[in-house]
Amino acid sequence: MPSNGLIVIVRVRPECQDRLRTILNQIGNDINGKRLTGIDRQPHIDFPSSRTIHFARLVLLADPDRGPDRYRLLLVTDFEGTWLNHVRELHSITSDPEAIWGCCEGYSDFSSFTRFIRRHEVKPQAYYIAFHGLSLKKIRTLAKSLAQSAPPPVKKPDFSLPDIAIQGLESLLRLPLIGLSVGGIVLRRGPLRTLRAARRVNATQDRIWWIYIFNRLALNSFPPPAHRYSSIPIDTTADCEPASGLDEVSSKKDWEGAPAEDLVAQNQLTLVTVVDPERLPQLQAVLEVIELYARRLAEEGSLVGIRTIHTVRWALLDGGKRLLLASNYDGTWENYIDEFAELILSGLDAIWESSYGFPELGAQDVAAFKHFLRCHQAPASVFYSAYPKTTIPNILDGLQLERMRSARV
Amino acid sequence: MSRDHRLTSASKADIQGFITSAFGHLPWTAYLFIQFHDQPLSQEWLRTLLPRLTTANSWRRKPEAPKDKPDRTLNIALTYAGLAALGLSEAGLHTFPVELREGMATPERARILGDSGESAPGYWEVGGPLNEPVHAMIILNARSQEDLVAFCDEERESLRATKGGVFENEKEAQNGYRPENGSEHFGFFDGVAQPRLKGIQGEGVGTGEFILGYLNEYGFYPVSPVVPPADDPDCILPQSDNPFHQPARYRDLGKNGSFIVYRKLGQDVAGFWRFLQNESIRIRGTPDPELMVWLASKMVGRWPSGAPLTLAPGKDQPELRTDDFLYAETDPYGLKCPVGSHIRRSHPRDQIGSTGPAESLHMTDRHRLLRRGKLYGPALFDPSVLSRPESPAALQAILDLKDDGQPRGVHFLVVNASLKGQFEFIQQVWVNNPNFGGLTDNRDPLVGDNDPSTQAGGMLVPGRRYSLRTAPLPRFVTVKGGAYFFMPGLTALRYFAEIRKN
Repeated sequence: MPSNGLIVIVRVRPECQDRLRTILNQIGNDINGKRLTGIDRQPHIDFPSSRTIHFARLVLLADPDRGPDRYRLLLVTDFEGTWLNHVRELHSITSDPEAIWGCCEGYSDFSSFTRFIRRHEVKPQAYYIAFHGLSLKKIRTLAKSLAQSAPPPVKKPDFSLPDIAIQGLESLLRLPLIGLSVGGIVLRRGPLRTLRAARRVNATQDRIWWIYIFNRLALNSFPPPAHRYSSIPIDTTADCEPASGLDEVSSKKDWEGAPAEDLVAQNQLTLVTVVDPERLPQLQAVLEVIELYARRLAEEGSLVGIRTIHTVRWALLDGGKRLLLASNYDGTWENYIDEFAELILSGLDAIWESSYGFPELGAQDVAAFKHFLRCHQAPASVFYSAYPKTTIPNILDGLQLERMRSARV
Repeated sequence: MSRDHRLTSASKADIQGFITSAFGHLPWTAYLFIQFHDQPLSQEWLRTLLPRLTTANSWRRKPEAPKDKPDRTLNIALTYAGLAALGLSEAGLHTFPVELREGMATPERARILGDSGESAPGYWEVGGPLNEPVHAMIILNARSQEDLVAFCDEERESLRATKGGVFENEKEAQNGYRPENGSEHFGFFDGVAQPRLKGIQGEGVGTGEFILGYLNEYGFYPVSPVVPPADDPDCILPQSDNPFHQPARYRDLGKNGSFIVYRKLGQDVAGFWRFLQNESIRIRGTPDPELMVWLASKMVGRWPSGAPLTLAPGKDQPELRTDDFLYAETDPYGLKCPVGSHIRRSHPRDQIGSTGPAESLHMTDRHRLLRRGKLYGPALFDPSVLSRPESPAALQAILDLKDDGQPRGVHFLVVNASLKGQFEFIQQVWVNNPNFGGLTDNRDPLVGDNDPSTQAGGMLVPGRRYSLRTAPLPRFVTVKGGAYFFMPGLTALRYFAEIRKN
């Protein structure tokens, strides 16, 4: 069953903004398990009733292009099945579509909903999904069997020679596809930019053997910082300051009443940064390299060793003016970012060094990098996960358990 | 070793001794909580206190001379409210981390720390919203109980001499001790795991993980509080070395200081052993003290003697008591030391979830704590019965343990350069995380927030042939109080003593 994603950004009617924020925040509380009294009379979206939606979020994004107090509504979902069924389902699980979508410019009624969504859809430049073929039903079954299992899979199966041979063959078969993808990037972005992007992304990834070889061949290394002091602002109480006239930061106001995004086990991250137009072509090449990783090179459940991401996508918005990151991950925010800084440091620099406000010393100045993220993060009014207590390692263990059982039979 | 980790004799004279030493030779401790009612009088008292403070100075007069250990030690740490009461400017206060500003007892911190149910700050005996405000904590150590009493009397005299300028919350004062046998109340030898510091032992964790002004495990200097130059007209504080602070010429408040966590943790010793007794009956149909000790050790991750299960999987081997071991190679699936055990959660070493050993080690080094705790309350039973295999009869002492109504537990104190990145991280991401290390639904079996309302499942004890899941874990440890402190270097304390009233 293919896994798909949807990103939609629509302008919110100014007279409707406050009402929409209230409605969305209430839906957010409803999903978090605090079923509100009188909810039936409130407009809501019944995500838990869906059998195809894995993750969903609704975020009110500042829309500075149209004015200081204007907002856009961002919808990000991860689902299985066809696009059309998904969009129809979104509409049908919304108790009062008029109250939510009616607040958005360009919405008229149900008959034109799919057209409305299609017109405002944004395609991601890079999209990673931890488990491509796993349906929601399957993941829930795995989680259940894991919780009930005694004994759990304490012993990973030994790899036999045929297994290794099959794996080797699979890798070989993937080579032409990888070659094609690389060729595509080179054609679209030029050989120099592609090489530079690959070097920037891979510089700290020596622990993966084929990247180690690449780094030696490309004489690629990660230079130490100029000095070892953090550029994080000294005032820990202050509102975020834009790094330059073009930078856009979230304000404390945006976070008022927003849910605390430091829960265990799952959270979401929505980040919008402004891209330096001169560095946009390089960023595009970087995103294509990451897309290649995500589609062709990532193992099941792991993005270059990171096993906390369920899905993540990067999308260029507004003709490349802004960069959106939307991820669904396990664990707390602090842990998530710490693991990034440990495992994919050079990748973080490659992605965000073209954005305004990125720390002078890069992501290895972790304190300043976290500040950069916090200042460009938008709180999600609604966040839904279909399996909020199931982590990637849980799913991997569940699969392992299943394999062991079928091997025994 | 890099110059940026080493503690020179000048810096040792500036660092408070509590940060660098657990004062193993001084078993008796008092924690006095005080309020600064009057700024000038408090500052005057602070000036007289300065010469009495214990520093990190070497105990050897000359390198080859024998150690001349102090008979008494005295150290002081300040809360955010205490910094304000001493007259620190808004500009300076605002450079302190948000955790210190909020304090441990706010709903936000309580949520992160998992202080819910009976552990909620509203029930606390010290530091909570219903207790006296705390501006500073004085930590006194002495060789004997008698001397500690005399020492406290002397210090209280100096507080009384301020005529109310500095006021002690006498009813909330706390006393602690280190038992001769080294075992905490549940009966396990404690204090084996202490990180080594590059700046002291020459190897181990970066000094900046515990002391501001030195390189940490991120390869950076920890973020340090500062004041604008106008707030330090007498130039008492050193100038901040941070190039990003140069144009404004900020002055460094944090240098040689650190952050201190104080938590009073009550232990339900009878409840702990009763739970194990019930488990023993459930598993074997009869109370079996040996099985109880085995299961308790699986929950802790060490045997009562302190020997780690990873090195001594079959039986307690006191001679193997060490902190020098790893998991990824020898025990990846927790067959010896369960993944969910207390020591594996609070220090996962080279195996955090599914991250590789080298990366895991590097990441855990960024989340270490220097522990400085002491016990309170009498032992409920003689812990030596747990590690005397030659006399199984003695082990019967742990059967049908009844609570004697006496409060007992531990004053849990830790030193770290970042409250959020170290203490709170360990508490939230490891200790209280139901999904830690690939698990599905259980928290730390010993100190986890196993409140009936949020309770996770039982602990999983993996075995080669059979795995065991305990009954749902009740709460064995209840938070009874706590606060976050900044423990400044002596230079910064001198500065606090000289801030002019405005």
